[in-house]
Amino acid sequence: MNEERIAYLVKCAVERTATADELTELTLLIREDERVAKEIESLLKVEKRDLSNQEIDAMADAVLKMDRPAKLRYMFNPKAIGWKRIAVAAAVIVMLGVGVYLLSHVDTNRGRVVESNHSDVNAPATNRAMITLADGTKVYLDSVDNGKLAQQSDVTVTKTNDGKIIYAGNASEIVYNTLSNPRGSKVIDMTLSDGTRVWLNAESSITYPVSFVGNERKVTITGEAYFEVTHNEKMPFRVSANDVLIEDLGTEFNVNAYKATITTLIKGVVKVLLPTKDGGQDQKGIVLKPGQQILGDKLVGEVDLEKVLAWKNNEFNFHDDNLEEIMDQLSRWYDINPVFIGQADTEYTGRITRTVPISQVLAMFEKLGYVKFEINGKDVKIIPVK
Amino acid sequence: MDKESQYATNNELLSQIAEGDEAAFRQLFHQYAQLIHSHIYSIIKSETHTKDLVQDSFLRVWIHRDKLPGIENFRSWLVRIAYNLAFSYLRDKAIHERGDTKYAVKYSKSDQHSAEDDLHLQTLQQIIRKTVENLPPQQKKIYLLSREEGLKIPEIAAKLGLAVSTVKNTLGRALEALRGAIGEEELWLLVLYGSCLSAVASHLR
Repeated sequence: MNEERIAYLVKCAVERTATADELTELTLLIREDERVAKEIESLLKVEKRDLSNQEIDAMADAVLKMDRPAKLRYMFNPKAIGWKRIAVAAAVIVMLGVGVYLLSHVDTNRGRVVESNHSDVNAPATNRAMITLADGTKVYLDSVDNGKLAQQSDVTVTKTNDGKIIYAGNASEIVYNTLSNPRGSKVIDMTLSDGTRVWLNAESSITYPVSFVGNERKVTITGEAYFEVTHNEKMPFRVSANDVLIEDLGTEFNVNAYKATITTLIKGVVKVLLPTKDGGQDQKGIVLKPGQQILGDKLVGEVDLEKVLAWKNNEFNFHDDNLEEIMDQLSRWYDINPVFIGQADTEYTGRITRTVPISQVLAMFEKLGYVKFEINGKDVKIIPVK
Repeated sequence: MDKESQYATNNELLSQIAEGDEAAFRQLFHQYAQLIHSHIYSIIKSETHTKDLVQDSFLRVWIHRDKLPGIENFRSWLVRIAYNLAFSYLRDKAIHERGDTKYAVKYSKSDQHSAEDDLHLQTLQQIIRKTVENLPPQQKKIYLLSREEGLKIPEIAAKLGLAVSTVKNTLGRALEALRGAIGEEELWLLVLYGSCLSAVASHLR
């Protein structure tokens, strides 16, 4: 240990004349030899400084929350937000269990845009979905005229004037088609050959037989879909999502399979068969009542159906959602790429239509004052404030 | 009371912290906050960033909790960490003032912000939470039982029907992942076992 060198480096450091290289040298010396710290201690003029117990408690709290999930919640009053007029009339902030009320009046309809933002991303105006036919042919729905799209055996596929897809007819054997709806594409509405209606969210797909043959009607989805099933006891309708199998017993239900499979029953009855360890399905299943949900492997009662079906109603609906979940939803819809700059551990509650440009959605969050956004092409930076 | 005896009774406290005991950690924080704060301030002379670095120092204590009972002299270990962070901070600042943007990203520019809001701490928090989120399922489950439900190692073992040693090792691996995530793994090994290394080094000389 070179005491002289250490003395010189410490002197330069506290007098702010040390170069970056000298400071690096000093940190390396500290790491290499424990006696260096003792030497520095003898050189420093340390004045005792007073910290209040409260200050220390606050610092300890801050450290202990770092490896624990977030507890902060911010909320904009859902009732104040109209379907077309997007306004945050009141914001309620609940902070670590202590209620702090903050009122702000914002009317985003007056063309307010996100500050420091030069570009914007509009809501999807068209549907960019694609059907992959059994022979591998890809049909891009936005590039074909309305009317008959394809003929497979005796099954015709039609695109209606309002953009719906309809399968009609019968086939003697099972032939699969896949409908894929990419990110940044409007919800697509399809009627299968048995009359079952399916709505498909952005970044989602469904694989289905063009005509149902045999003793079951089985489809497979990724992402999120809503089903209005034409019930047929002799041919149960089954949806496979991730490893979960959902069986219709006369039903309208939503399946969100972006991450853990979340099945929510709106009307009727469904049975959810969860995967077993050996890769099969637990045949007993869990029978859901309307308003109930299976989230992963847990049964949840009394869910907020408006939130579950918000996508189908062309709306974002957040309830105690953190920015990561919120940005997930925005990425699928606006086809953007979120970039988090720092920790954004806040939770938001509120609703807004999905038809406005992204800047108007982001402005709602910005107005609460805890986060800022910067849009640059498809990249959206999320910057916590304060 | 002289320094050594004041800090000599810490072994039990360190063992409790190793079990994930938050109250014990708070007690330790209270014992050393003043000391670490004074030392860091004497180097960096910025009230706001001193608080930030005090928290950073104790964060490193917290994510090394499984190793704490093995530390011979906790006080000098902690002081060493604090010095390392303080001089690293000055280095980042010097680089920034030379026109590099690293400092701007790592620390908030203004001294007006409170320590809790500092970007540097926020970034650490984000990294740590993300790492916890992405731990392998069993590690994550055990880690969250410890952190969210405050269960002690034997309680977690009983709840999950696992051996105490399995839970202990799993928590250790989770903490290792956290240390790795903030990129101080190597430094920490050096800090922890520095005395052995310097003994070897002086022997070689």
